[in-house]
Amino acid sequence: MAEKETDPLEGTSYSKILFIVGSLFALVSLWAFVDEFIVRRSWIGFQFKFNSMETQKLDEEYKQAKTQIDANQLKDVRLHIEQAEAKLESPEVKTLRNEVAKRNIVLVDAKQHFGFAKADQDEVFYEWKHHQLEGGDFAHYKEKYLELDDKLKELKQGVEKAEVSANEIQDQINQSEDEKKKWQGEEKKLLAPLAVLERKMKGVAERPIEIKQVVIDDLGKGGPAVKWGTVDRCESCHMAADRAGFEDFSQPFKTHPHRDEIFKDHPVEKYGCTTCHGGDGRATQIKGEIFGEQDFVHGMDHHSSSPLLRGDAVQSSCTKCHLEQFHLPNAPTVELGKKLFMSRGCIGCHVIKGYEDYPKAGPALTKVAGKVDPEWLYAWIKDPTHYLPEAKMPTIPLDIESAGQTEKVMSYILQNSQPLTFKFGSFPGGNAVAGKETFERVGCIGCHTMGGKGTGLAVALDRINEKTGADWIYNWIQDPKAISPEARMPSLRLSPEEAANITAYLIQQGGGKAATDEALRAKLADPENAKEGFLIISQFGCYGCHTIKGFESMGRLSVDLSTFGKKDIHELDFGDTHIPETWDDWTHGKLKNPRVYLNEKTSSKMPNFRLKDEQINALTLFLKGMKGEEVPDRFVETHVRDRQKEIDQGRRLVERSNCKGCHLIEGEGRLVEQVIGPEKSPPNLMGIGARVSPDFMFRFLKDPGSMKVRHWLDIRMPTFGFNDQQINAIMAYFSALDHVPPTFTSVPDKKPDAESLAAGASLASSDYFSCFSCHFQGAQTPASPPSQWAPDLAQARNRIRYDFIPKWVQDPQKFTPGVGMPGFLPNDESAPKDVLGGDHLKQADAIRDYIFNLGQ
Amino acid sequence: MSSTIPESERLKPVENPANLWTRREFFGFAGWAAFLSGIGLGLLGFLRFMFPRVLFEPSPFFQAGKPDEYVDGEVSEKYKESQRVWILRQGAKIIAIQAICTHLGCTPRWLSLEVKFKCPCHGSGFTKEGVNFEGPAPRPLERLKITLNDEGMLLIDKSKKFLWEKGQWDDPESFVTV
Amino acid sequence: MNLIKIKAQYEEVRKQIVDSYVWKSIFRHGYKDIPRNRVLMTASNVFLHLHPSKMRRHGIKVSYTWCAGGLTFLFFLILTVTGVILMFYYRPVGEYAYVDMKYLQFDVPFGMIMRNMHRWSAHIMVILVMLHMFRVFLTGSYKPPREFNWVIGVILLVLTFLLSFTGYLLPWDQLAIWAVTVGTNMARATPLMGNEGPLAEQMRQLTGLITPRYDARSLLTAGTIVGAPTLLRFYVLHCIFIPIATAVLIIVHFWRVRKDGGISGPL
Repeated sequence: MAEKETDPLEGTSYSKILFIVGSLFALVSLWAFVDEFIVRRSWIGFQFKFNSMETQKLDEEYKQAKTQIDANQLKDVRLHIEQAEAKLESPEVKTLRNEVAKRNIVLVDAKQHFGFAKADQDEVFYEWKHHQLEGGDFAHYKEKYLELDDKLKELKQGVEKAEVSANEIQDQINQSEDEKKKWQGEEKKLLAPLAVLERKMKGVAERPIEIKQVVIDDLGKGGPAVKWGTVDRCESCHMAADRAGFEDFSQPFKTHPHRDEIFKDHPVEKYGCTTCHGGDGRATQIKGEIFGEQDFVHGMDHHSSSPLLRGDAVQSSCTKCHLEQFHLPNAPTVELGKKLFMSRGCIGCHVIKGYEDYPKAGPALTKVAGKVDPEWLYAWIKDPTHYLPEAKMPTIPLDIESAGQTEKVMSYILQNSQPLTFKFGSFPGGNAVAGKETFERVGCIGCHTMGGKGTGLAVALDRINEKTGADWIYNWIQDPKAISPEARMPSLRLSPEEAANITAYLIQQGGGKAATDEALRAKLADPENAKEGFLIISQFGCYGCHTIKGFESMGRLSVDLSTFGKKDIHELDFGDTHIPETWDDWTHGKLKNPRVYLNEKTSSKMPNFRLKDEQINALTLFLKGMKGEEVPDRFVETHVRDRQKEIDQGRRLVERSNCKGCHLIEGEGRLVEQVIGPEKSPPNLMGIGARVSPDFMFRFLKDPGSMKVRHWLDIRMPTFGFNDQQINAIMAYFSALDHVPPTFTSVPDKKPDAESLAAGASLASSDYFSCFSCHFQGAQTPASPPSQWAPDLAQARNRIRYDFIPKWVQDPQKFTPGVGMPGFLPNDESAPKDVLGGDHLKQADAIRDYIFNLGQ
Repeated sequence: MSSTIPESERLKPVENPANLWTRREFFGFAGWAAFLSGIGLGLLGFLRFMFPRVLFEPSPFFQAGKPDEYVDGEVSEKYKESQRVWILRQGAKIIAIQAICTHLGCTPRWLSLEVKFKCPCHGSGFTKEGVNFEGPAPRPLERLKITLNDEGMLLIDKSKKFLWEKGQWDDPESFVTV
Repeated sequence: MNLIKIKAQYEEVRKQIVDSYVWKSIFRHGYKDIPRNRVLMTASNVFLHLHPSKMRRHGIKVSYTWCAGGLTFLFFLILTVTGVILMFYYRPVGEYAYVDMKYLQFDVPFGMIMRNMHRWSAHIMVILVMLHMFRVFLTGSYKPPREFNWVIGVILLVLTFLLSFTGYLLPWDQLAIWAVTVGTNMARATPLMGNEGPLAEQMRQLTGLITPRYDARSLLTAGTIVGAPTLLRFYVLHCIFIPIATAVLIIVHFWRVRKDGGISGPL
């Protein structure tokens, strides 16, 4: 080429730039591929790993199963199969087969002829109907149709005949075939365990490597505005979470540790995983190290609003649906938190949805002036632990911002205290020694503690004389409701003499009253102080836990905590502290010391509850669940929800009345057993709902003094003074625990037949089960030692459900685990052979009939 | 060719093949190659983009009540609307037939008087058992996997099909015996 | 030695292709480096004819314009391509928009990179548009005879902002909803048209309109709140309305660059 003078600008080559930019572009594209297929799909690796682990497991099981098959038997069966096969290959069978083939040809021909004829007839039928409907002449077609009908019948017979003749021979062949099939079946039966494993192995081998997801449209954060609210892919890696048998595998391949208890009512297909566990269900990518900063899957990145809940923290999710439920066997920590929230009086200031009308935690202060001295009260408010180390009353932050607040508060309360009239007069004096005996005998220690003895459900009485006087005690223990209608303490129906003795005993306990402080009393009498006291009480919310005159219509003092769990950390004030900025740490710090976040500009009225660390954790967990999330009814089936509410009313009453101090309910309680021993303790109430008739339970709870079921026990069932509504709630609760309806039933009018009665009498007698060696019969005392005594059977008719006794005598442990009564008739084998034909069900009915007939 | 460019000025082959590419030419080629491979990868990626990794489709499984809900010898249309499945009980045997015509995929009608399935699109007809006997349909209707679950409910899996022409109608999973 | 062979083979193949009938029916002119051929080469190719067949010497110098306008156009093209690809999976419906965005992010192969390319390209385009305008201002290229193209450029700038703003709502997450709530609330202060703007009272008396229900803001949000109708409206604006307007103006803009004397030179 001719040399040309090139313009340096024109001649500039950009090929290097093109190369650099083009290469960068290609490399970036390549990078996108690597990222797409490797980096972002960590679940693929997990699936391969799990499949190989499962194959290995199945391999071992297969080897194990193989050794357990009887080789000789298998050999024998296989020999039989070979023989049967040989027979099928024999010349005779071969000729038969040829014959069948020939006859089948005839059959197919016959069928075809029939089919063609039928088609012809259909055509004629169409023409006939067509002409008929068009109004034309159709007689010709009709005639032809009928003609063809005859022909068809004939052809049909031909088909049937051909069929019969073919089947004749076929049946002969089938006999030999059946023989072979029989032995093949035997072989299959022998190899069945292997076949199951083989099928499983094939399943693993054919399992596609793909994302496994649960899609739930209407559950999740978006509410109805977002479709597919919950999409959980957790099982893409946690492949065995919902499969038994992988308990020993390490995460992420482990079986869910509570699969049996939880998955039964909460199937993954319906509830998903993140609903309880948190984390990002849609994400499938774990970046960097597992559970590191950028772990999107488990919600560990800093943008995530729901990081994975680990350990006990998962329990907080139960609150979403089970907020109103007091008893959660699978979530003990949350249950503890909920109970603390109610019993320590948090609910007095902070409202929570579903617990708006929960009763106040502390005693009424409307008549407090008649009960305690100002000196004691002052010391108590200042520091409750001084009088009761385990006091429920929190330490109120009075006198911190300005001095003299305590006196002003007391001044208001005492000046507004109503005068106390003693219904039973003043303390007449009594015998303290007898009082101590009565105190320990009738059941005071079912709730109270004295000298380290007692259940600790109510206050310790060791220093009672420092707090109050003999007149007040004497009147209070006889009828607490006469002094304070909202008193939690029930009446033990003490006689005036018993009450006097107990008072004499109690009034000896403690160091006596403090010296009168005239200066304090003068301050308390000042009406100006009372006026200021009113304002201080409204600020500090004493009325949240105590009924105080003048505050009856006051609202809750502090914030509603129904949605506290979803508070953003920007909504929480960490003050000058160096506490880590998380919701958990804030709440923990606040509960540990409510004043920890205060600085010069902020103030707080929250008192210090002196909580222990485990209590703080439980409360934190309970509050963490308070996210106010709406869960569609479908997930909390409505009938369960209503029923649950009903049951829970009863459960709350049982909790509040300290029933579990003496009785065993839902497997908990009967603390008194450790103090007075099991033989003197009140009965185990497991299965009580199925046992007693509703009308008896109603009458008994209304007035337990009117009837004594276990009259040999010294301890008394107190009179709680329940109203009808409360008793119904308790009955609904007990019935629901035993899955029986709380409905009234009657004993059938029909008299039991004599045979049954006689059989029942015989079975109950010492010949067989000796019922009366433990049970009373009217006034007749049983022979066994008192620790084995049981209630009067002559009263059973009035107290026990008609259908209960037959089930009870079969297996009492099923209703009341730990009951002393043996199971006499669990099945026919245990039934005496010579009574009612040895039928255990009939015998159980006979015993019922006999017992219900006692005293008639 | 309508060009008026004289032959002498047209592109000529390189006269000396022994001359290697100049550096400029090489970078030009390599640059274009890299650019085009980037575009190619992009197109491949786009193709992959069109196939999402996970689908939000209804589950192929559904429960179809208890066996005693079905009348002997009658085709049940209970699940035709919602699942496109007929359930047929014959004696102790229960089968699930997919309501998709084997011709071009319309939903046939069950004509109980004429005891046949008839496709409204092109007139294919099937017997009660699903065997084609008229019209263009080339093969019988497909049957679906049907099993009894632990609670005695019929469980149908629409993802597993049993075809007559493959001899699968005798497969023990293609019917339930009660 | 091998390379020589390959080269020879390459030339052979190349010759056959270039001399073929098909090739010549498409590319009329060889690349013989003479001025006439250069012009014909450019003028007869649909893509190349967008460029001027001849340009001034200073137009080649990259450091004068930094190609800011051309790069803006490149990013407009990238946005169009990635945007169309995203449309395969995105439904502008309240119930689905957010989950579709998540679907693209987590499930659709290359969905994340398409989404991120679209997003980052949008940011870059806005920056480039401003840089381009800055350059035009500094070089005084807005002066006659280019004053009309400056006006078109300003309109294109506004359209770019509007594209950016309407696209911001489409992920349908909290950020999107609140950002658009804030943005559209400014429209309440539109003179005459916004119900809280200057002269709104007079307009209301005059027309009976300009209430929160009928004003500039409700025109944008298709209601009184940012809801599902807003999403659909913004989607149509983002994908159809504004891109078409932008494309038409870009054509005019390019046309005017050529007709007003090509890329402006140093003064």
